Amino acid sequence: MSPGLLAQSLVLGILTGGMYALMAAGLTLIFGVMKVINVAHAAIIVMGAYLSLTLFRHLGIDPLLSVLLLIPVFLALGALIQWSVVNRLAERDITLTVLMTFGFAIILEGLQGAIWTSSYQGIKTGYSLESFQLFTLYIPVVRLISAGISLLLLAGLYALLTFTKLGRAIRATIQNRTAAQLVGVDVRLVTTVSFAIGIAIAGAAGPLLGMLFTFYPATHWLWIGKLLAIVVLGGLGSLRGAFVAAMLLGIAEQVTSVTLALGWAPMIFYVFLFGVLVVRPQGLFGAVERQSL
Amino acid sequence: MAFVEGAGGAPAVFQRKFKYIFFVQPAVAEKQADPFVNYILSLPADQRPKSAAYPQQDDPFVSATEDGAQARLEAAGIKTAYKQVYPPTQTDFASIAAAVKHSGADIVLGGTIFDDAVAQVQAYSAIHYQPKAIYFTSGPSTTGPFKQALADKVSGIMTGDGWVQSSKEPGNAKFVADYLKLFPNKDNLVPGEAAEGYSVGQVMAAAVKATQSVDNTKIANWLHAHKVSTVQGEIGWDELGRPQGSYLLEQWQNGIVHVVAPKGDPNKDADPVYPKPDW
Repeated sequence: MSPGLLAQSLVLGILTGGMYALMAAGLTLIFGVMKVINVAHAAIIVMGAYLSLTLFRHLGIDPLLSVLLLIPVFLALGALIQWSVVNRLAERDITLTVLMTFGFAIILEGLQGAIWTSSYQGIKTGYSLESFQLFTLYIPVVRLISAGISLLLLAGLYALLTFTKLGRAIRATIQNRTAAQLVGVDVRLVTTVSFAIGIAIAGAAGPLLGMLFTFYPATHWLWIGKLLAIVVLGGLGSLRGAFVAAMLLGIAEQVTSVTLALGWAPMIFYVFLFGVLVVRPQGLFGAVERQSL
Repeated sequence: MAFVEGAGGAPAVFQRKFKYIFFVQPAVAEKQADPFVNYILSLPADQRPKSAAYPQQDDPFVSATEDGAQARLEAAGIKTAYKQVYPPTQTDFASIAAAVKHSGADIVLGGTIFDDAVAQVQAYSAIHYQPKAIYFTSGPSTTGPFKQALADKVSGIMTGDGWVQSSKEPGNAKFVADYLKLFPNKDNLVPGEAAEGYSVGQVMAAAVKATQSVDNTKIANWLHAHKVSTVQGEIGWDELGRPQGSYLLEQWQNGIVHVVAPKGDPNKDADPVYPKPDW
């Protein structure tokens, strides 16, 4: 294989990985704070793609602008879902939330099919197929923009978690919910806000997904497996881990596609995931949880 | 039971040697790309491509068509520069496009359904890959959505099909008019799949009328012995229900699909454009 093709696939892998990181960020945040596995996470991303498509087709709103418009919408939606349903179930039995989010994913899928039909869709703007040449490499513009927006949003999330009081409260809740309560953190408020932020990030990823990949109502089943694998490899609840794992997946997929065979592309990542979990069951950046007997 | 069907032409359908299956398209899957291969092989030696790429979905219909075309092109000296099978769940074609471009293939035979045909074109276009000819097993004949997804990028793309909207076959004009009355659309386009389904109805109706019966054995025996006029042309079957005709070669030119081969076909309304226009 030529070095040029390897370099091209590496660049594509890094850009794709940036997109995966954004898609997985909300999922790992929600798990970290609430221990809730949000099976509907990918369905929410696809919903963001459909809403962006509608805004683009009917109102001419550029999908990049709809990223900003959808954040408050999904923030409110996330807060509503968490407050009205998830919180109540989580307090009774956390495992029920898996069933609840599974059901929510199916409802969203049905809703999308009823409104937008089951046809394949894609958000195609005037610059969708543009690319520029950098030495011998072709850089697809949309992929570069998507990766850039993903990094910006992730940097914003990182800053929120690191430098704000709310962020410290969220991290404290992730590390030890009881201890956080003891030092005065309003854990219920923190969980509601965290869930809402997680859903808002998912919604923001929707337009980017729609610009890069074809989608249809059942697409979320293809994505949720990938996203859960990223979160598990990175370490449950670790934003940094999700970012590294997403990059690894993006690069593994693209490089494997051109060096081995296309069928190996998804498998290589899962083989790596399996190997890491054997050595580090907590994932690359996950903390070992201590439990009393 | 007599099973008259419009969308099952892969070899696996006929391998069990059932006698009551009748595939209602002009030919079986492995012969779908024959008109394209015939055209490529008819080019003067100095214009003929030297290599081909075969990115294809893991699908029995697609692999039959691709394998059939690849065998004939290789036998004629056109090397295989790239061949990979991707899963039906593949949504990202960037690395595939990069690999095809780096293979230096002169032409592409994409083994596609619909969305992957669209995604392949987008990925090739994004990295400025300009094959001299590109053929997809399915996708381009789903005219409305294909054009909507790709706009002017459809130009020069080829496919094999059993039916074209402007077909001069008996009954086609009425079928097209009735379809558009029932399902009006701004481009006045009728999908090929509708013609395939309608043809199945025509075949069943002809068999029932001729035998004056709904007895499965009588219908099957009659179909084995007779040809039936459909909007896709006159179709007859061998003992395993394989149609014995030939597909048309279509090419998008100036925003619409034209029949460009075989020569002498009454539906041929344009000559092939080769090399295809750049994306």
